[in-house]
Amino acid sequence: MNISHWEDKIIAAMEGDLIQSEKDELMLQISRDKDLTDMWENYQQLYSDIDLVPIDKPNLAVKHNFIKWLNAEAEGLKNQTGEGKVVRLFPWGKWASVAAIFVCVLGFWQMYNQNQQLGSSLANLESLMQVQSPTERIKAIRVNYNQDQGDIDSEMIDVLVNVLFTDQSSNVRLAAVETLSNYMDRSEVRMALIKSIATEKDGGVKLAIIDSLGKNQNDEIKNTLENIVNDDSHEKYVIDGAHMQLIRLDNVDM
Amino acid sequence: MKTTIMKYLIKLSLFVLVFGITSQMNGQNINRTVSKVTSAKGSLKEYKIPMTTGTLNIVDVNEVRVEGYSGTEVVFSTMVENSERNERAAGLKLVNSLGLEDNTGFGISVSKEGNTATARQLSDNCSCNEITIKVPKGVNISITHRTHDAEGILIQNVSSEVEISTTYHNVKLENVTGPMAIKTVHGSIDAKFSSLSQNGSVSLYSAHDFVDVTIPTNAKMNVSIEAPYGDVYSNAEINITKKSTAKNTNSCYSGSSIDGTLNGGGVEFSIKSAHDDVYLRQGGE
Repeated sequence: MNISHWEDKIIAAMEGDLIQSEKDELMLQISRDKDLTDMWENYQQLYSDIDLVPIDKPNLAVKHNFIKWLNAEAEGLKNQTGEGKVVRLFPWGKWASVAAIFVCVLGFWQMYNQNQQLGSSLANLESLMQVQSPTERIKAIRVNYNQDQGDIDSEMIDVLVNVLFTDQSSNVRLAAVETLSNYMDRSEVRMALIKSIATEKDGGVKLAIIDSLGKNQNDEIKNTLENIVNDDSHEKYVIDGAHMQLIRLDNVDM
Repeated sequence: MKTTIMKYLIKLSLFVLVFGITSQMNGQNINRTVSKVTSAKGSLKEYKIPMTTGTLNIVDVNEVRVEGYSGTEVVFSTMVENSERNERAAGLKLVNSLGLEDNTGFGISVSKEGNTATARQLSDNCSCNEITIKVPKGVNISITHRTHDAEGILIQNVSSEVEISTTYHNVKLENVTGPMAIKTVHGSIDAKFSSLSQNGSVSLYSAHDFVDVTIPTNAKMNVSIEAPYGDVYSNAEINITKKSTAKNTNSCYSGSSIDGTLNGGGVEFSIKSAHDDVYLRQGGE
């Protein structure tokens, strides 16, 4: 006997799904078989216990709220795809654009301000270099070309080179040489110093130029020093100074 | 009555004319005197020009001493010893290729243009000893000297601006205040400041000899000291802002370069000996 077949029939009977002939056949079999009788009684007991469980009816308010939420969602979706607009909690893009514009404006303003200041200080320096007092001109050089202020631009170098070539006072020209010697890594400075050897009248300033050239060593400077050594028009102590620098440079080479 | 008024007007016109001419003469500095004080050994010669402001240029005058004083004239003076006189040149004038005139009588030509006076030695064989030049307090001094002749320049009691550029001279400064710019190639610089002016700047530079500076204890300065091939000696309490040693990698010398402030900082004060030592003494000998 197929027990599981008859168990399905018992469950169907409990559910009221059997026709009368099927139910009669089932009852006949139950009466003949002890196991089926037990099974029938167990299912009867189970179903009667289930019937005793109270039935909780769902709250209609929950259903109402759910329907309301569902409608709202549907309306939202409709707005996203239709004429509605997307509203973000914080407009990052907008603020980032404003910040970028602000930074650009600030940057340009600072650049403009720096240029103004540079222009102003440059004009101020040029006017200071025209004052009659040589000690005031030297002061202007020492204060405006302080190495702690970092690198300086070409226009500032030009002012100093102009002083080197034109100032009437050899003491002021000396201050210009000493200050320029702090920028020997710049080719325009080296060129100006080399060129000034030919025009400088003061032996002391020439010596300072030679000392400055001796701080750097390259073929250009060596050639210049050698030319001085071989040029009798220079003062003897200037020639000696150039010779001394050549020896020093040769010692470095070794 | 009419005649009296006419006489008065004529007198007034003459007075104005004379006053005007005198003023013009003073303006052209014609009011100069040469005085001689004779002694058994020789004679003290003096030459004066009125000057209270402007600049006195002293060019190639050997063995010069400049003294500041509270006067209104620049006074040149020297003792000319009898043994040094060139008797053969008696009655003749020193002739110079620049066309300058020995208007002092001791081989110095003095001229004045505008606010600038220039004293220039005309002869290398100057028959005189040291030239003393007394300079009024308001007159700036500029000295240039390029020859081997004589040994030194002495500046005393000067509070106006001093600029010196010399090749061979030692420069000695006593009881000075600055501002000043002193440069010598072969000579030394020995400077004693009685106080320190905060005007302009002070720069003392010797290429081959020492620089020795004495400053008052309370001197306020931004000081820069360099002795690339020498040493720096000092008792000053410098607040060092930048210091570097072993600057010359191509030399056996250590070398020193010091930037700093004294008494909180003040006037720009630069001391450099390119090939010798630097001495900075604070507060006395």
